[in-house]
Amino acid sequence: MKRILAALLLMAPVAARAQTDAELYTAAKAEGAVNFAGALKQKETETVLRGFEKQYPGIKVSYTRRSTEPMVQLIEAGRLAGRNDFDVINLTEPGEMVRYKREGLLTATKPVANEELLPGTFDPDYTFRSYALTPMYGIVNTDKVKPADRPKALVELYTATWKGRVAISQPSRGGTDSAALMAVADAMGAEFATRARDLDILLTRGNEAAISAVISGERPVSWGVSGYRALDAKADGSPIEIIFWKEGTAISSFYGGVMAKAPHPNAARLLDRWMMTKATQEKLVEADSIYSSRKDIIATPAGEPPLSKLPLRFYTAEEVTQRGQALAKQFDTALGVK
Amino acid sequence: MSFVHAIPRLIDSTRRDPARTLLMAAALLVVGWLVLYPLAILLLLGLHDKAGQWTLDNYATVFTEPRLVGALTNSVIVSVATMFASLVIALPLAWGVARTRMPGKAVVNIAVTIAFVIPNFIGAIAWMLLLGKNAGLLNVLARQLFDGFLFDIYSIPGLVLVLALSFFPIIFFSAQAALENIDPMYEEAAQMSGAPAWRASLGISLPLVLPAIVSSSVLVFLEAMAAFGAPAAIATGGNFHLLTTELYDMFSYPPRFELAAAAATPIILFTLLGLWLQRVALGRRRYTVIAGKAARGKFVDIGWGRWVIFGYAMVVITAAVALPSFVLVRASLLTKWVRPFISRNITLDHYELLFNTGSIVPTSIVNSLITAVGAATLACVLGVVVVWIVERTTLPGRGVIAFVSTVTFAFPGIALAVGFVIGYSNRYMPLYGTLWLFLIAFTAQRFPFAFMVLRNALKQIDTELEDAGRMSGASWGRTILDISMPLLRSGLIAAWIMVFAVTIRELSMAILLYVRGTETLPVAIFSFVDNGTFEPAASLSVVLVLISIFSVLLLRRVTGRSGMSL
Repeated sequence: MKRILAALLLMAPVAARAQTDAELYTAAKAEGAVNFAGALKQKETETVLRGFEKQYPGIKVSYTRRSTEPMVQLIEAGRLAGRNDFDVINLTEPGEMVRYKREGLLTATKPVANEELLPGTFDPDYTFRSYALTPMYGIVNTDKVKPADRPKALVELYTATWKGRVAISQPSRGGTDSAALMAVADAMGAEFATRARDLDILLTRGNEAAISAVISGERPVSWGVSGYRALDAKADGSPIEIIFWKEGTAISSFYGGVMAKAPHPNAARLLDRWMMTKATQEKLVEADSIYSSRKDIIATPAGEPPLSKLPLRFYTAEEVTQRGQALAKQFDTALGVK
Repeated sequence: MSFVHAIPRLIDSTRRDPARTLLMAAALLVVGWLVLYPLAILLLLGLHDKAGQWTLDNYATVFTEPRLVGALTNSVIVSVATMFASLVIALPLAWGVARTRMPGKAVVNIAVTIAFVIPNFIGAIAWMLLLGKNAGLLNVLARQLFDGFLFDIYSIPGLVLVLALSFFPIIFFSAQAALENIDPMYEEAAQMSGAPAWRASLGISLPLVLPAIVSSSVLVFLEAMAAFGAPAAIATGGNFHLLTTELYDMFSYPPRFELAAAAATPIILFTLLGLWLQRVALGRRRYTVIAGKAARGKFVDIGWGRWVIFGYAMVVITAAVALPSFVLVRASLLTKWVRPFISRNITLDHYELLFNTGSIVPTSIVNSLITAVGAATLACVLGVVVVWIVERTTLPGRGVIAFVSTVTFAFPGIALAVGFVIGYSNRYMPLYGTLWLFLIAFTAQRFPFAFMVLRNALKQIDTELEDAGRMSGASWGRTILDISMPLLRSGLIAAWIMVFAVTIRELSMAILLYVRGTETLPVAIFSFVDNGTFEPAASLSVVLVLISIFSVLLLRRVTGRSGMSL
């Protein structure tokens, strides 16, 4: 009986989706604003969000951009103070979304049916879904490594050629990095950690630092960095090239969801719904150098191949949280991180 | 003196001078509240589990979890090494500037001030570009010259180098101010006894400024214990952790506030240790060097040795200031930092942000100035009174007051911020989300700077002048204002500048305290770095450094000092 009640309670907010866009807009307009906190790029996302304000006059969107780690700190500081300023959040850390779901910080919404999304990009209970996807690309410094010498498979990195030449963001620091490690572990098998000990890998705090290490040539290759950042760096003229690993490249999600205690609950639902529309997703792909989690979107970041043409590894939020972090710990131990 | 015996004296003192007692009590209450309230919240937090039940598990974990014990050990090693390296860098410079005729003193003073205000993570970036194992400029050069590499910055010695180049100004300022206050009659006496000039100066002056050296060395040790920026950039690459990087990781994926509170609390022990070391080193000796007779400035003639010191100063300045500044300015002027520094890649666009009211930058600059000026002023006002109580009264429990006044020094900012967020979010003090909380938190965190610098300055002033004032019928307040304050001016300026400089670059607390509209300049810089746009971050860092330098120069002008020495 308790289980049924719990299920009914969980589904109750989802039932609110039955509201039409017009009804939701009327209620949202009365709230007048919506606060969106996310990891999607600042300027580009704000430009896309102007479209929401245009479509729904009377609702002002405030976008607070942080990468996931400081964003979580910001949310947690608010929680310590007993307040929540955000309506909709968007994080690249699956473990945090899973935790927020468990702690009741997020409410279930259904802006789009899960069946319309790529595998591993949504929560089966509709608490969160991927607003955007980015592959954890390999990158190589084109000034330091000739085209013929560039690695094509992850297993190649475990040879003497690449000793002292690999930089990665420390996998134990977060889900995107541990997802990249999962792809390596799947390619290398059980020895992925013990053999990594001999590679003299440079660990960094975050993807930006790993990309900088590759750009500067300090380590000319990385096995997985945030794709949109790598594409931006390449577009800016940095001497790097993208690598699609033969064994498959891990995919990282920008998970989005509505806060249970959103200050503007109706506007939050409306924005959540709008973010997952086909039109908005296409605009985000173009502006943010990301891919869409919607199966029906074929648009890709400028000059990049469609996901359907790439060997990919989709890991669910639960998988990254459980297995990913276990592998990351194993990896730290093997490398002798002290 | 026992507490019981002190009570009648306190009552008597209050009767004779109620204003003094009231002022002292108010200052003690304010400082106690500022410091102890957030710490008490943290202590309690560490004694609870996630469900809110009492437990000792968090503290047990801190002392048994190998990773945390390892991080603590690494922190101590790095901090001790940084302290000694800073002494090696700072003392010859301070002595050269204060006591010799070495050339370029003004340049050295300005450069050391710049070194002090450059955030250590900027220095870390510069040294990573220079001494990265594979691509570091100096290592590439070494490889070409003798097929080897000089030094791997991603190591404990690498981190010590960066931290020492960032923290040595603390010892420099302190030692220089103390050396300048020494009456030359002592050295003259030594010379008349046949000692060479340099030996007389070193043999006489250094012991006299020992309180300044010991105090500032303890500051460097504690500052290194609390450092986060440079360790975050370097330690991860060297496969080691410090306590601060471990603590930071406790605030995400998932946050473990209870464990972080427990892990930060033992750092108080290091502050206690530092105070104890000060006491042991100084013993009961007196170091009065400002007496009723005015000191005359006199320099030691060390011949060509002044050029040796000058050369040494230039090496230090290049490493601590020129290289990081070059990296910053270069990046701030390039369309993209990876591009070559040629005319078509050079732009001033990143400085336009300063006037872009659509961005957080203008507001963040104003917020930073308000909070830094406010915190520096508040800390100095409180500091004068508290230092007076500790050094010039027989009030029982002065050791405790000194401890309370320095306890936040090494406390990791991000952990301390948790205490402030929780403590000032209730309905009685709803300050979370306002600049007031920044002011309170920054004052509490940076008060030890004001306290230690002022205490050191007051130690050097003989009580005979104040006694004379009191015997002439001046009240306690009048004595302080007319006699002690002018003598303390040098120390007061040093304290204000130090607090201002370290507050305006404060990030570790601000990162948890800010909400939309209360961003500070370091938060804005952090946001740009976080967004992957290093160029505007570099331009704002240049602005941050310039504001600090400008403030220092302005203050010197206002107070009528021509030199730059602190």
